[in-house]
Amino acid sequence: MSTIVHARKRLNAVLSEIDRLKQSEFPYAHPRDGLELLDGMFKKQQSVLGKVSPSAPANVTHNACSTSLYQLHVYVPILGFILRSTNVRNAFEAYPLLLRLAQSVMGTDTKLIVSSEWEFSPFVYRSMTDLPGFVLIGLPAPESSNPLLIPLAGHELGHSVWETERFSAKFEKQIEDGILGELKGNRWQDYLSLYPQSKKSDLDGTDMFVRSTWLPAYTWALLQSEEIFCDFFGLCLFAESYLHAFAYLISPGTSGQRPLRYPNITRRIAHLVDAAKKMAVSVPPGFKSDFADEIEPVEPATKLLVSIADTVSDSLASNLIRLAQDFAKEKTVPTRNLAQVSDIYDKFRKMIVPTSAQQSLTDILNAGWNCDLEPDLWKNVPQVKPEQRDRILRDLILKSMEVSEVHERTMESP
Amino acid sequence: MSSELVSSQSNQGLRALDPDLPFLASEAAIDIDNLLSNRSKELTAIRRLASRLNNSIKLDTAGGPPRSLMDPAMLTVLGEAMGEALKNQSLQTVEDLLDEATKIAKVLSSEDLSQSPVESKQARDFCVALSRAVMVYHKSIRDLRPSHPFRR
Repeated sequence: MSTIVHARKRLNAVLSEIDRLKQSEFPYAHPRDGLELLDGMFKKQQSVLGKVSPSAPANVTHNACSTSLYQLHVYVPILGFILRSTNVRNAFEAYPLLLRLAQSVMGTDTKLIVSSEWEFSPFVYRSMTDLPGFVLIGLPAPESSNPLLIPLAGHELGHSVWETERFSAKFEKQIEDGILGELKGNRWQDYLSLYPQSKKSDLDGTDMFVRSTWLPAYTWALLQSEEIFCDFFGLCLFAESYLHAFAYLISPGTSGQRPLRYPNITRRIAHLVDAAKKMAVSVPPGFKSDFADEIEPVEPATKLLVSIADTVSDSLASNLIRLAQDFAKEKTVPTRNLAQVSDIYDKFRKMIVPTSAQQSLTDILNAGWNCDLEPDLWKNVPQVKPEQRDRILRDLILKSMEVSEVHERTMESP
Repeated sequence: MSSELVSSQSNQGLRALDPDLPFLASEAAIDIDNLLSNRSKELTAIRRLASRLNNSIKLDTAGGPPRSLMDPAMLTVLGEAMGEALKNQSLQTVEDLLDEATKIAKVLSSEDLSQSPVESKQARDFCVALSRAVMVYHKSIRDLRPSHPFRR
Protein backbone atom coordinates (compact mmCIF):
# COMPACT_ATOMS: atom_id res chain seq x y z
CA MET A 1 0.00 0.00 0.00
CA SER A 2 2.96 2.35 0.23
CA THR A 3 2.56 2.99 -3.52
CA ILE A 4 -0.70 4.81 -3.03
CA VAL A 5 0.63 6.63 0.04
CA HIS A 6 3.54 7.87 -2.05
CA ALA A 7 1.16 8.90 -4.82
CA ARG A 8 -0.93 10.98 -2.39
CA LYS A 9 2.16 12.64 -0.93
CA ARG A 10 3.43 13.49 -4.42
CA LEU A 11 0.13 15.23 -5.16
CA ASN A 12 0.27 17.12 -1.86
CA ALA A 13 3.76 18.30 -2.74
CA VAL A 14 2.75 19.59 -6.16
CA LEU A 15 -0.30 21.35 -4.72
CA SER A 16 1.92 23.11 -2.18
CA GLU A 17 4.21 24.16 -5.01
CA ILE A 18 1.26 25.58 -6.95
CA ASP A 19 0.31 27.62 -3.87
CA ARG A 20 3.82 29.05 -3.82
CA LEU A 21 3.72 29.79 -7.57
CA LYS A 22 0.48 31.69 -7.11
CA GLN A 23 2.43 34.23 -5.06
CA SER A 24 4.49 35.17 -8.15
CA GLU A 25 4.04 38.50 -9.89
CA PHE A 26 2.34 37.85 -13.20
CA PRO A 27 2.69 40.43 -15.98
CA TYR A 28 -0.64 39.32 -17.48
CA ALA A 29 -3.59 37.22 -16.31
CA HIS A 30 -3.37 33.99 -18.27
CA PRO A 31 -0.54 32.28 -16.35
CA ARG A 32 -2.50 32.75 -13.12
CA ASP A 33 -5.64 31.34 -14.80
CA GLY A 34 -3.57 28.34 -15.87
CA LEU A 35 -2.34 27.77 -12.33
CA GLU A 36 -5.91 27.81 -11.01
CA LEU A 37 -6.92 25.14 -13.52
CA LEU A 38 -3.92 22.95 -12.71
CA ASP A 39 -4.66 23.35 -9.02
CA GLY A 40 -8.19 22.05 -9.68
CA MET A 41 -6.88 19.20 -11.83
CA PHE A 42 -4.45 17.94 -9.16
CA LYS A 43 -7.16 18.23 -6.50
CA LYS A 44 -9.42 16.12 -8.73
CA GLN A 45 -6.60 13.56 -8.94
CA GLN A 46 -6.43 13.50 -5.16
CA SER A 47 -10.13 12.75 -4.99
CA VAL A 48 -9.79 9.98 -7.61
CA LEU A 49 -6.97 8.38 -5.64
CA GLY A 50 -9.20 8.66 -2.59
CA LYS A 51 -11.74 6.45 -4.36
CA VAL A 52 -9.31 3.53 -4.69
CA SER A 53 -10.50 0.80 -2.34
CA PRO A 54 -7.94 -0.87 -0.04
CA SER A 55 -9.26 -4.16 -1.43
CA ALA A 56 -8.94 -3.11 -5.10
CA PRO A 57 -6.96 -5.49 -7.31
CA ALA A 58 -3.29 -4.63 -7.69
CA ASN A 59 -3.62 -3.70 -11.37
CA VAL A 60 -6.30 -1.09 -10.58
CA THR A 61 -4.34 0.44 -7.71
CA HIS A 62 -1.04 0.42 -9.57
CA ASN A 63 -2.57 1.96 -12.63
CA ALA A 64 -4.26 4.70 -10.60
CA CYS A 65 -0.84 5.56 -9.09
CA SER A 66 0.82 5.24 -12.48
CA THR A 67 -1.60 7.66 -14.19
CA SER A 68 -1.15 10.07 -11.29
CA LEU A 69 2.62 9.85 -11.80
CA TYR A 70 2.15 10.29 -15.55
CA GLN A 71 0.11 13.46 -14.93
CA LEU A 72 2.98 14.79 -12.81
CA HIS A 73 5.39 14.10 -15.68
CA VAL A 74 3.00 15.93 -18.02
CA TYR A 75 2.14 18.92 -15.86
CA VAL A 76 5.16 19.69 -13.67
CA PRO A 77 7.04 21.03 -16.74
CA ILE A 78 3.98 23.23 -17.41
CA LEU A 79 4.29 24.68 -13.91
CA GLY A 80 7.93 25.51 -14.64
CA PHE A 81 6.85 27.02 -17.96
CA ILE A 82 4.32 29.23 -16.17
CA LEU A 83 6.94 30.34 -13.66
CA ARG A 84 9.40 31.24 -16.45
CA SER A 85 6.68 33.22 -18.25
CA THR A 86 7.07 35.82 -15.48
CA ASN A 87 10.79 36.31 -16.19
CA VAL A 88 11.74 39.81 -17.29
CA ARG A 89 13.79 38.48 -20.21
CA ASN A 90 10.50 37.82 -22.05
CA ALA A 91 9.51 40.43 -24.65
CA PHE A 92 6.34 41.51 -22.86
CA GLU A 93 5.86 44.33 -25.40
CA ALA A 94 5.11 41.69 -28.04
CA TYR A 95 2.60 39.81 -25.92
CA PRO A 96 -0.58 41.85 -26.62
CA LEU A 97 -0.08 41.66 -30.39
CA LEU A 98 0.68 37.95 -30.26
CA LEU A 99 -2.40 37.41 -28.12
CA ARG A 100 -4.54 39.29 -30.65
CA LEU A 101 -3.10 37.11 -33.40
CA ALA A 102 -3.75 33.91 -31.43
CA GLN A 103 -7.30 35.02 -30.65
CA SER A 104 -7.98 35.96 -34.26
CA VAL A 105 -7.06 32.46 -35.46
CA MET A 106 -8.30 30.38 -32.54
CA GLY A 107 -11.17 32.36 -31.03
CA THR A 108 -11.53 35.22 -28.62
CA ASP A 109 -11.47 32.90 -25.58
CA THR A 110 -7.94 31.78 -26.39
CA LYS A 111 -5.43 32.25 -23.61
CA LEU A 112 -1.77 32.67 -24.39
CA ILE A 113 1.31 32.12 -22.25
CA VAL A 114 4.72 32.90 -23.73
CA SER A 115 7.81 31.82 -21.86
CA SER A 116 11.57 31.88 -22.16
CA GLU A 117 12.73 28.28 -22.16
CA TRP A 118 16.08 26.65 -21.71
CA GLU A 119 16.23 24.65 -24.90
CA PHE A 120 17.38 26.11 -28.16
CA SER A 121 14.29 25.48 -30.21
CA PRO A 122 10.89 27.14 -30.04
CA PHE A 123 8.07 24.80 -29.13
CA VAL A 124 4.42 24.68 -28.20
CA TYR A 125 2.62 22.36 -25.82
CA ARG A 126 -0.22 20.42 -27.41
CA SER A 127 -3.57 21.51 -26.04
CA MET A 128 -4.39 19.75 -22.82
CA THR A 129 -7.86 18.86 -21.63
CA ASP A 130 -7.10 20.37 -18.27
CA LEU A 131 -5.99 23.67 -19.84
CA PRO A 132 -8.74 24.21 -22.42
CA GLY A 133 -8.19 27.10 -24.83
CA PHE A 134 -4.60 27.68 -23.73
CA VAL A 135 -1.71 28.15 -26.15
CA LEU A 136 1.70 27.79 -24.51
CA ILE A 137 4.62 28.93 -26.65
CA GLY A 138 8.22 28.58 -25.49
CA LEU A 139 11.05 30.58 -27.04
CA PRO A 140 14.78 29.96 -26.41
CA ALA A 141 15.85 32.01 -23.38
CA PRO A 142 18.84 33.75 -25.04
CA GLU A 143 16.52 34.92 -27.83
CA SER A 144 13.29 35.46 -25.94
CA SER A 145 13.80 39.22 -25.82
CA ASN A 146 14.65 39.27 -29.53
CA PRO A 147 11.50 40.34 -31.40
CA LEU A 148 13.01 39.28 -34.73
CA LEU A 149 12.31 35.65 -33.81
CA ILE A 150 8.61 36.19 -33.08
CA PRO A 151 7.68 34.94 -36.59
CA LEU A 152 8.63 31.45 -35.40
CA ALA A 153 5.69 31.67 -33.00
CA GLY A 154 3.60 31.45 -36.20
CA HIS A 155 4.80 27.88 -36.69
CA GLU A 156 3.98 27.05 -33.08
CA LEU A 157 0.55 28.65 -33.37
CA GLY A 158 0.08 26.41 -36.41
CA HIS A 159 0.35 23.35 -34.16
CA SER A 160 -2.42 24.66 -31.93
CA VAL A 161 -4.59 25.42 -34.98
CA TRP A 162 -3.89 21.96 -36.43
CA GLU A 163 -5.05 20.34 -33.24
CA THR A 164 -8.06 22.47 -32.35
CA GLU A 165 -9.35 22.38 -35.93
CA ARG A 166 -8.66 18.61 -36.02
CA PHE A 167 -6.93 19.06 -39.38
CA SER A 168 -5.27 15.66 -39.00
CA ALA A 169 -8.67 14.07 -39.64
CA LYS A 170 -8.61 15.58 -43.16
CA PHE A 171 -5.50 13.61 -44.02
CA GLU A 172 -5.67 10.36 -42.03
CA LYS A 173 -7.36 8.37 -44.80
CA GLN A 174 -5.13 9.83 -47.53
CA ILE A 175 -2.06 8.93 -45.48
CA GLU A 176 -3.22 5.38 -44.80
CA ASP A 177 -4.07 4.87 -48.49
CA GLY A 178 -0.81 6.47 -49.56
CA ILE A 179 1.27 4.20 -47.36
CA LEU A 180 -0.52 1.04 -48.46
CA GLY A 181 -0.22 2.17 -52.10
CA GLU A 182 3.53 2.68 -51.74
CA LEU A 183 4.00 -0.64 -49.96
CA LYS A 184 2.11 -2.57 -52.62
CA GLY A 185 3.74 -0.63 -55.45
CA ASN A 186 7.19 0.95 -55.44
CA ARG A 187 8.33 -0.49 -52.11
CA TRP A 188 6.99 -4.04 -52.32
CA GLN A 189 10.38 -5.72 -52.76
CA ASP A 190 11.81 -3.80 -49.78
CA TYR A 191 8.83 -4.82 -47.64
CA LEU A 192 9.19 -8.43 -48.79
CA SER A 193 12.81 -8.48 -47.73
CA LEU A 194 11.69 -7.52 -44.20
CA TYR A 195 8.64 -9.81 -44.09
CA PRO A 196 9.40 -12.63 -46.57
CA GLN A 197 6.17 -14.57 -45.98
CA SER A 198 3.96 -11.62 -46.91
CA LYS A 199 1.48 -11.44 -49.73
CA LYS A 200 0.26 -8.14 -51.18
CA SER A 201 -3.30 -9.13 -50.34
CA ASP A 202 -2.31 -9.21 -46.62
CA LEU A 203 -1.91 -5.44 -46.75
CA ASP A 204 -5.52 -5.00 -47.87
CA GLY A 205 -6.80 -7.12 -45.01
CA THR A 206 -7.39 -6.30 -41.40
CA ASP A 207 -4.77 -8.51 -39.79
CA MET A 208 -3.61 -6.72 -36.65
CA PHE A 209 0.02 -7.85 -36.99
CA VAL A 210 0.26 -6.67 -40.59
CA ARG A 211 -1.14 -3.28 -39.61
CA SER A 212 1.49 -2.94 -36.89
CA THR A 213 4.27 -3.37 -39.51
CA TRP A 214 3.38 -0.09 -41.25
CA LEU A 215 1.99 1.93 -38.33
CA PRO A 216 5.27 3.85 -37.75
CA ALA A 217 5.13 5.13 -41.34
CA TYR A 218 1.60 6.34 -40.71
CA THR A 219 2.56 8.10 -37.46
CA TRP A 220 5.60 9.78 -39.03
CA ALA A 221 3.71 10.85 -42.14
CA LEU A 222 0.98 12.41 -40.02
CA LEU A 223 3.48 14.23 -37.78
CA GLN A 224 5.48 15.39 -40.82
CA SER A 225 2.31 16.71 -42.47
CA GLU A 226 1.56 18.70 -39.32
CA GLU A 227 5.07 20.19 -39.35
CA ILE A 228 4.80 21.08 -43.04
CA PHE A 229 1.45 22.76 -42.38
CA CYS A 230 2.94 24.73 -39.48
CA ASP A 231 5.78 26.00 -41.68
CA PHE A 232 3.23 27.10 -44.27
CA PHE A 233 1.08 28.74 -41.61
CA GLY A 234 4.07 30.64 -40.21
CA LEU A 235 4.97 31.73 -43.73
CA CYS A 236 1.41 32.81 -44.39
CA LEU A 237 1.30 34.93 -41.23
CA PHE A 238 4.78 36.42 -41.33
CA ALA A 239 5.96 36.17 -44.96
CA GLU A 240 9.67 36.95 -45.52
CA SER A 241 10.29 37.51 -41.81
CA TYR A 242 9.40 33.86 -41.17
CA LEU A 243 12.11 32.70 -43.57
CA HIS A 244 14.69 35.05 -42.02
CA ALA A 245 13.86 33.92 -38.48
CA PHE A 246 13.85 30.28 -39.56
CA ALA A 247 17.30 30.58 -41.13
CA TYR A 248 18.64 32.53 -38.15
CA LEU A 249 17.66 29.88 -35.65
CA ILE A 250 18.12 26.66 -37.61
CA SER A 251 20.79 27.04 -40.31
CA PRO A 252 23.00 25.25 -41.11
CA GLY A 253 21.58 22.55 -38.80
CA THR A 254 23.41 20.19 -36.52
CA SER A 255 25.02 17.00 -37.75
CA GLY A 256 23.40 13.63 -37.22
CA GLN A 257 20.33 11.67 -38.15
CA ARG A 258 17.28 13.68 -39.17
CA PRO A 259 14.33 13.61 -36.74
CA LEU A 260 11.71 11.24 -38.12
CA ARG A 261 8.76 13.41 -37.15
CA TYR A 262 9.95 16.23 -39.43
CA PRO A 263 10.62 16.16 -43.15
CA ASN A 264 14.39 16.15 -43.57
CA ILE A 265 15.73 19.68 -43.79
CA THR A 266 16.28 19.56 -47.56
CA ARG A 267 12.62 18.70 -48.15
CA ARG A 268 11.48 21.15 -45.50
CA ILE A 269 13.29 23.98 -47.28
CA ALA A 270 12.03 22.85 -50.68
CA HIS A 271 8.45 22.93 -49.38
CA LEU A 272 8.97 26.41 -47.92
CA VAL A 273 10.39 27.69 -51.21
CA ASP A 274 7.43 26.23 -53.16
CA ALA A 275 4.96 27.71 -50.71
CA ALA A 276 6.71 31.09 -50.83
CA LYS A 277 6.26 31.16 -54.60
CA LYS A 278 2.54 30.44 -54.23
CA MET A 279 2.16 33.06 -51.49
CA ALA A 280 4.16 35.74 -53.36
CA VAL A 281 6.80 35.79 -50.63
CA SER A 282 10.39 36.55 -51.68
CA VAL A 283 12.89 33.89 -50.73
CA PRO A 284 16.16 35.40 -49.44
CA PRO A 285 19.16 34.77 -51.71
CA GLY A 286 21.10 31.67 -50.66
CA PHE A 287 18.26 30.44 -48.44
CA LYS A 288 18.44 26.87 -49.75
CA SER A 289 22.20 26.57 -49.57
CA ASP A 290 22.30 27.85 -45.97
CA PHE A 291 21.22 24.40 -44.74
CA ALA A 292 23.33 21.25 -44.62
CA ASP A 293 21.93 17.83 -45.52
CA GLU A 294 20.92 15.53 -42.71
CA ILE A 295 21.72 11.83 -42.38
CA GLU A 296 18.98 9.34 -43.18
CA PRO A 297 18.44 6.29 -40.93
CA VAL A 298 20.23 3.10 -41.96
CA GLU A 299 18.33 0.45 -40.00
CA PRO A 300 16.37 -1.33 -42.80
CA ALA A 301 12.83 -1.20 -41.35
CA THR A 302 13.16 2.43 -40.22
CA LYS A 303 14.78 3.41 -43.51
CA LEU A 304 11.92 1.89 -45.52
CA LEU A 305 9.12 3.24 -43.35
CA VAL A 306 10.47 6.77 -43.04
CA SER A 307 11.09 6.97 -46.76
CA ILE A 308 7.45 5.97 -47.33
CA ALA A 309 6.35 8.56 -44.75
CA ASP A 310 8.43 11.16 -46.65
CA THR A 311 6.83 10.28 -49.98
CA VAL A 312 3.34 10.41 -48.55
CA SER A 313 3.78 13.68 -46.65
CA ASP A 314 5.40 15.23 -49.76
CA SER A 315 2.34 14.29 -51.78
CA LEU A 316 0.16 16.33 -49.40
CA ALA A 317 2.21 19.53 -49.59
CA SER A 318 -0.03 21.31 -52.13
CA ASN A 319 -3.13 20.55 -50.06
CA LEU A 320 -1.37 21.77 -46.94
CA ILE A 321 -0.40 25.09 -48.57
CA ARG A 322 -4.01 25.62 -49.62
CA LEU A 323 -5.26 24.69 -46.16
CA ALA A 324 -2.92 27.21 -44.48
CA GLN A 325 -3.89 29.97 -46.91
CA ASP A 326 -7.63 29.28 -46.76
CA PHE A 327 -7.62 29.13 -42.98
CA ALA A 328 -5.68 32.40 -42.62
CA LYS A 329 -8.02 34.04 -45.13
CA GLU A 330 -11.13 32.76 -43.36
CA LYS A 331 -9.85 34.20 -40.08
CA THR A 332 -8.99 37.51 -41.81
CA VAL A 333 -5.49 37.45 -40.38
CA PRO A 334 -3.54 40.55 -41.45
CA THR A 335 -1.02 39.62 -44.11
CA ARG A 336 2.22 41.41 -44.87
CA ASN A 337 1.61 44.70 -46.70
CA LEU A 338 4.68 45.78 -48.67
CA ALA A 339 3.76 49.47 -48.62
CA GLN A 340 3.34 49.46 -44.85
CA VAL A 341 6.56 47.50 -44.42
CA SER A 342 8.36 50.09 -46.51
CA ASP A 343 6.86 52.93 -44.47
CA ILE A 344 7.95 51.42 -41.15
CA TYR A 345 11.36 50.55 -42.61
CA ASP A 346 11.88 54.18 -43.59
CA LYS A 347 11.00 55.35 -40.08
CA PHE A 348 13.45 52.90 -38.53
CA ARG A 349 16.23 53.48 -41.03
CA LYS A 350 16.02 57.20 -41.79
CA MET A 351 14.68 58.65 -38.55
CA ILE A 352 15.48 55.96 -35.98
CA VAL A 353 11.97 56.25 -34.54
CA PRO A 354 9.24 53.70 -33.95
CA THR A 355 6.07 53.81 -35.95
CA SER A 356 3.59 56.40 -34.74
CA ALA A 357 0.59 54.72 -36.33
CA GLN A 358 -1.10 51.41 -35.73
CA GLN A 359 0.67 48.67 -37.66
CA SER A 360 0.27 44.95 -37.88
CA LEU A 361 2.69 42.61 -36.16
CA THR A 362 3.78 41.11 -39.46
CA ASP A 363 4.55 44.52 -41.04
CA ILE A 364 6.59 45.64 -38.03
CA LEU A 365 8.59 42.41 -38.03
CA ASN A 366 9.22 42.46 -41.77
CA ALA A 367 10.41 46.06 -41.56
CA GLY A 368 12.63 45.04 -38.63
CA TRP A 369 14.18 42.21 -40.60
CA ASN A 370 14.75 44.46 -43.62
CA CYS A 371 16.71 46.81 -41.38
CA ASP A 372 18.59 43.99 -39.71
CA LEU A 373 19.74 42.69 -43.08
CA GLU A 374 20.88 46.15 -44.19
CA PRO A 375 24.68 46.03 -43.81
CA ASP A 376 25.08 49.81 -43.77
CA LEU A 377 22.23 50.53 -41.37
CA TRP A 378 23.00 53.75 -39.42
CA LYS A 379 26.64 53.67 -40.41
CA ASN A 380 26.37 57.35 -41.28
CA VAL A 381 24.80 58.19 -37.91
CA PRO A 382 27.64 59.03 -35.54
CA GLN A 383 25.41 58.82 -32.44
CA VAL A 384 24.77 55.11 -33.08
CA LYS A 385 27.80 53.08 -32.19
CA PRO A 386 28.15 49.79 -34.10
CA GLU A 387 27.81 47.75 -30.91
CA GLN A 388 24.49 49.50 -30.13
CA ARG A 389 22.94 48.82 -33.54
CA ASP A 390 21.14 45.56 -32.76
CA ARG A 391 19.83 46.72 -29.40
CA ILE A 392 18.47 49.96 -30.86
CA LEU A 393 16.78 48.10 -33.68
CA ARG A 394 15.14 45.67 -31.25
CA ASP A 395 13.96 48.58 -29.09
CA LEU A 396 12.42 50.28 -32.14
CA ILE A 397 10.59 47.08 -33.05
CA LEU A 398 9.31 46.50 -29.52
CA LYS A 399 8.31 50.16 -29.11
CA SER A 400 6.42 50.01 -32.42
CA MET A 401 4.49 47.05 -31.06
CA GLU A 402 3.59 49.01 -27.93
CA VAL A 403 2.48 52.01 -29.99
CA SER A 404 0.32 49.78 -32.17
CA GLU A 405 -1.28 48.20 -29.13
CA VAL A 406 -2.03 51.62 -27.65
CA HIS A 407 -3.77 52.60 -30.91
CA GLU A 408 -5.68 49.33 -30.89
CA ARG A 409 -6.90 49.87 -27.32
CA THR A 410 -7.74 53.51 -27.97
CA MET A 411 -9.92 52.48 -30.89
CA GLU A 412 -11.60 49.80 -28.80
CA SER A 413 -12.45 52.08 -25.89
CA PRO A 414 -15.93 53.64 -26.06
CA MET B 1 -15.13 24.01 -18.60
CA SER B 2 -17.20 25.76 -21.29
CA SER B 3 -20.48 24.23 -22.42
CA GLU B 4 -19.07 24.11 -25.97
CA LEU B 5 -16.28 21.87 -24.74
CA VAL B 6 -18.65 19.56 -22.87
CA SER B 7 -20.82 19.28 -25.95
CA SER B 8 -17.87 18.49 -28.23
CA GLN B 9 -16.71 15.84 -25.75
CA SER B 10 -20.08 14.10 -25.90
CA ASN B 11 -19.49 13.33 -29.60
CA GLN B 12 -15.86 12.53 -29.07
CA GLY B 13 -14.37 9.21 -30.09
CA LEU B 14 -11.13 7.67 -28.91
CA ARG B 15 -7.95 9.29 -30.20
CA ALA B 16 -4.48 8.00 -29.41
CA LEU B 17 -3.18 11.44 -28.50
CA ASP B 18 -6.07 12.42 -26.22
CA PRO B 19 -4.21 13.72 -23.19
CA ASP B 20 -6.90 12.80 -20.67
CA LEU B 21 -7.54 9.26 -21.89
CA PRO B 22 -5.14 7.44 -19.50
CA PHE B 23 -6.66 9.23 -16.53
CA LEU B 24 -10.26 8.74 -17.67
CA ALA B 25 -9.73 5.00 -18.27
CA SER B 26 -8.02 4.63 -14.90
CA GLU B 27 -10.86 6.40 -13.11
CA ALA B 28 -13.39 4.22 -14.92
CA ALA B 29 -11.51 1.11 -13.70
CA ILE B 30 -11.62 2.41 -10.11
CA ASP B 31 -15.33 3.15 -10.37
CA ILE B 32 -16.12 -0.31 -11.81
CA ASP B 33 -14.17 -1.89 -8.99
CA ASN B 34 -16.12 0.16 -6.45
CA LEU B 35 -19.41 -0.82 -8.08
CA LEU B 36 -18.44 -4.48 -7.94
CA SER B 37 -17.62 -4.21 -4.24
CA ASN B 38 -20.66 -2.02 -3.48
CA ARG B 39 -18.46 0.85 -2.27
CA SER B 40 -20.06 3.46 -4.51
CA LYS B 41 -22.28 3.89 -7.53
CA GLU B 42 -20.24 6.58 -9.31
CA LEU B 43 -20.75 6.22 -13.07
CA THR B 44 -19.49 9.47 -14.62
CA ALA B 45 -16.09 8.26 -15.83
CA ILE B 46 -17.51 4.89 -16.92
CA ARG B 47 -20.18 6.58 -19.00
CA ARG B 48 -17.73 9.04 -20.55
CA LEU B 49 -15.43 6.22 -21.60
CA ALA B 50 -18.37 4.18 -22.90
CA SER B 51 -19.46 7.15 -24.96
CA ARG B 52 -16.00 7.56 -26.49
CA LEU B 53 -15.81 3.86 -27.29
CA ASN B 54 -19.30 3.86 -28.83
CA ASN B 55 -18.41 6.92 -30.90
CA SER B 56 -15.37 5.08 -32.27
CA ILE B 57 -17.24 2.12 -33.70
CA LYS B 58 -19.89 2.20 -36.39
CA LEU B 59 -22.29 -0.70 -36.06
CA ASP B 60 -23.89 -2.11 -39.19
CA THR B 61 -27.65 -2.15 -38.67
CA ALA B 62 -27.94 -4.80 -41.40
CA GLY B 63 -25.92 -7.20 -39.25
CA GLY B 64 -22.60 -6.81 -41.02
CA PRO B 65 -19.29 -6.42 -39.15
CA PRO B 66 -18.70 -3.20 -37.17
CA ARG B 67 -16.48 -0.55 -38.74
CA SER B 68 -13.70 1.42 -37.04
CA LEU B 69 -13.98 5.20 -36.87
CA MET B 70 -10.57 5.37 -35.18
CA ASP B 71 -7.30 6.49 -36.71
CA PRO B 72 -4.81 3.64 -37.32
CA ALA B 73 -2.72 4.57 -34.27
CA MET B 74 -5.71 4.40 -31.92
CA LEU B 75 -6.81 1.13 -33.47
CA THR B 76 -3.40 -0.40 -32.73
CA VAL B 77 -3.39 1.00 -29.18
CA LEU B 78 -6.89 -0.42 -28.64
CA GLY B 79 -5.69 -3.78 -29.98
CA GLU B 80 -2.84 -3.82 -27.48
CA ALA B 81 -5.19 -2.95 -24.63
CA MET B 82 -7.73 -5.55 -25.64
CA GLY B 83 -5.01 -8.18 -26.08
CA GLU B 84 -3.83 -7.51 -22.54
CA ALA B 85 -7.33 -7.53 -21.10
CA LEU B 86 -8.44 -10.74 -22.85
CA LYS B 87 -5.40 -12.80 -21.98
CA ASN B 88 -6.76 -16.11 -23.25
CA GLN B 89 -8.26 -14.95 -26.52
CA SER B 90 -6.39 -14.17 -29.69
CA LEU B 91 -7.34 -11.12 -31.70
CA GLN B 92 -6.22 -11.70 -35.26
CA THR B 93 -8.19 -9.13 -37.16
CA VAL B 94 -9.71 -5.69 -36.83
CA GLU B 95 -13.16 -7.32 -36.93
CA ASP B 96 -12.24 -9.48 -33.90
CA LEU B 97 -11.06 -6.38 -32.07
CA LEU B 98 -14.16 -4.32 -32.88
CA ASP B 99 -16.44 -7.18 -31.84
CA GLU B 100 -14.76 -7.32 -28.45
CA ALA B 101 -14.71 -3.53 -28.12
CA THR B 102 -18.45 -3.43 -28.88
CA LYS B 103 -19.06 -5.95 -26.10
CA ILE B 104 -17.00 -3.89 -23.65
CA ALA B 105 -18.82 -0.70 -24.67
CA LYS B 106 -22.12 -2.46 -24.00
CA VAL B 107 -20.99 -3.47 -20.51
CA LEU B 108 -19.76 0.06 -19.77
CA SER B 109 -23.11 1.47 -20.92
CA SER B 110 -25.27 -1.03 -19.02
CA GLU B 111 -27.67 0.11 -16.32
CA ASP B 112 -26.23 -2.04 -13.54
CA LEU B 113 -22.72 -3.36 -13.96
CA SER B 114 -22.84 -5.30 -10.71
CA GLN B 115 -25.41 -7.66 -12.27
CA SER B 116 -22.77 -9.12 -14.61
CA PRO B 117 -19.61 -9.40 -12.48
CA VAL B 118 -17.57 -11.51 -14.91
CA GLU B 119 -18.09 -9.10 -17.81
CA SER B 120 -17.63 -6.11 -15.53
CA LYS B 121 -14.31 -7.43 -14.23
CA GLN B 122 -13.21 -7.90 -17.83
CA ALA B 123 -14.31 -4.33 -18.61
CA ARG B 124 -12.39 -3.09 -15.55
CA ASP B 125 -9.22 -4.89 -16.71
CA PHE B 126 -9.73 -3.46 -20.20
CA CYS B 127 -9.91 0.05 -18.72
CA VAL B 128 -6.62 -0.51 -16.88
CA ALA B 129 -5.00 -1.93 -20.03
CA LEU B 130 -6.30 0.94 -22.17
CA SER B 131 -4.94 3.49 -19.71
CA ARG B 132 -1.52 1.81 -19.84
CA ALA B 133 -1.47 1.35 -23.62
CA VAL B 134 -2.27 5.03 -24.24
CA MET B 135 0.46 6.14 -21.82
CA VAL B 136 2.93 3.89 -23.67
CA TYR B 137 1.90 5.43 -27.00
CA HIS B 138 2.25 8.99 -25.66
CA LYS B 139 5.71 8.12 -24.42
CA SER B 140 6.69 6.73 -27.83
CA ILE B 141 5.68 10.02 -29.45
CA ARG B 142 7.55 12.05 -26.84
CA ASP B 143 10.66 9.95 -27.43
CA LEU B 144 10.66 11.05 -31.08
CA ARG B 145 11.78 14.47 -29.88
CA PRO B 146 15.55 14.41 -29.47
CA SER B 147 16.57 15.01 -25.88
CA HIS B 148 19.71 16.75 -24.78
CA PRO B 149 22.81 14.91 -26.10
CA PHE B 150 24.39 14.69 -22.66
CA ARG B 151 21.22 14.28 -20.59
CA ARG B 152 20.90 10.94 -18.80
